[in-house]
Amino acid sequence: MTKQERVQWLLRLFPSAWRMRYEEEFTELLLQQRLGPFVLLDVIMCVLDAHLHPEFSGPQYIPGKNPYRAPLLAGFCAYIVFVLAGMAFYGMVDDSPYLKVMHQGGSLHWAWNITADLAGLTLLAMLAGGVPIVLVALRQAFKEKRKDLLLLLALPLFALVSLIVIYGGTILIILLMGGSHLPQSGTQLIVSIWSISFIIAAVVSVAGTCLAITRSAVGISLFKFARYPGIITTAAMALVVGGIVWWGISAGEALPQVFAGNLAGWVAIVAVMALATLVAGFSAARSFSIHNQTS
Amino acid sequence: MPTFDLGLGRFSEPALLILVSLAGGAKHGYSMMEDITHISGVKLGPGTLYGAIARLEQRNLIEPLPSEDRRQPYRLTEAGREFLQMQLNNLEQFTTTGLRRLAAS
Repeated sequence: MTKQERVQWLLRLFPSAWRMRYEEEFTELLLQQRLGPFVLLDVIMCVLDAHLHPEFSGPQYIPGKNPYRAPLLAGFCAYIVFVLAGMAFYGMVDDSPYLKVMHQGGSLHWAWNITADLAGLTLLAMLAGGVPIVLVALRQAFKEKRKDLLLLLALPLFALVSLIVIYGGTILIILLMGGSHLPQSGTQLIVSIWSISFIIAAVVSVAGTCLAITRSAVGISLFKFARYPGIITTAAMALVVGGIVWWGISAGEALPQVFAGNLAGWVAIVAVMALATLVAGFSAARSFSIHNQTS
Repeated sequence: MPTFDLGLGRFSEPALLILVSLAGGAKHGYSMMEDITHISGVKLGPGTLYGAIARLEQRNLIEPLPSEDRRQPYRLTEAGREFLQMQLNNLEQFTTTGLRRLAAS
């Protein structure tokens, strides 16, 4: 690889707005340098800085053009953390002695069902606010032939396919090894691999979607509208946390010995969900306060 | 106490060095790096240089000049000149105080 090619490759790592403003002169400067490890590290730090601070990417970016975007994306990220914690809660309840008690009715049954309904409401509200924004970003990406946006928006799809391959591959290996009776350590290893893969896929998907929306020029009106589903999502998230606390108290009364074994996990789940709800709440409040300041 | 912190985080010190370099006349990136090494002994990396340039330009403290080739020269704006004067005055006061205290001790 020639020096020119290496410099061009490095430049591709910068956001497009930064490249539009500084690419030519920065290329010239890099061509005058020896591209040793310290220079490369320095340039990589500059790449990270350019992604983290798009406001310094030259006049193409107008600071404060869409003040709603950052809080709404922060709320979205908090929601995904909330969902992951919720899935951990589902994993704790699924295929457990709680199910039998829950089928008999009573407080545990109602706590579970109401929490599940509220979780559905959070999803619907998030989709109502988020899907129009993603669709407009996608349409722009196709219309303007923005490969960077298309790649970022395709990341959730790649992540899903990767998960299917990992999960399917693991099951295939187990079947080829001759059976479903795995030792405890083997089962734990598989569950760990699946869980870590799932978390990585979620992080990659969310990061890709957020970066794509940050780089696209989705109109401010959609973000303004998204404040309302955002506040509904946050309120429903708070109620879900309340529902899980109610479920925990009921589980402690109905199956004290079983619940004692799950207590630490339950507390961790509630703590993560409460924290995510707080972040989502601050983000929603921020988007409304921006509206009050600017209108 | 005067510091190198221009509200630009880790780019404060490189930004001040760039401003001092441009106080000697308009320069493009490579010339700035050479000049800064010459006047301060600090060797700025290209990424750090452009991180600071982007911030200084956004704050209207420096501006690009028309260029005939791919190299982009920059110069101080009037606001940049005043800002640099203020920073250097602060540093001078700080240095004077430090030297006076050293002499008295």
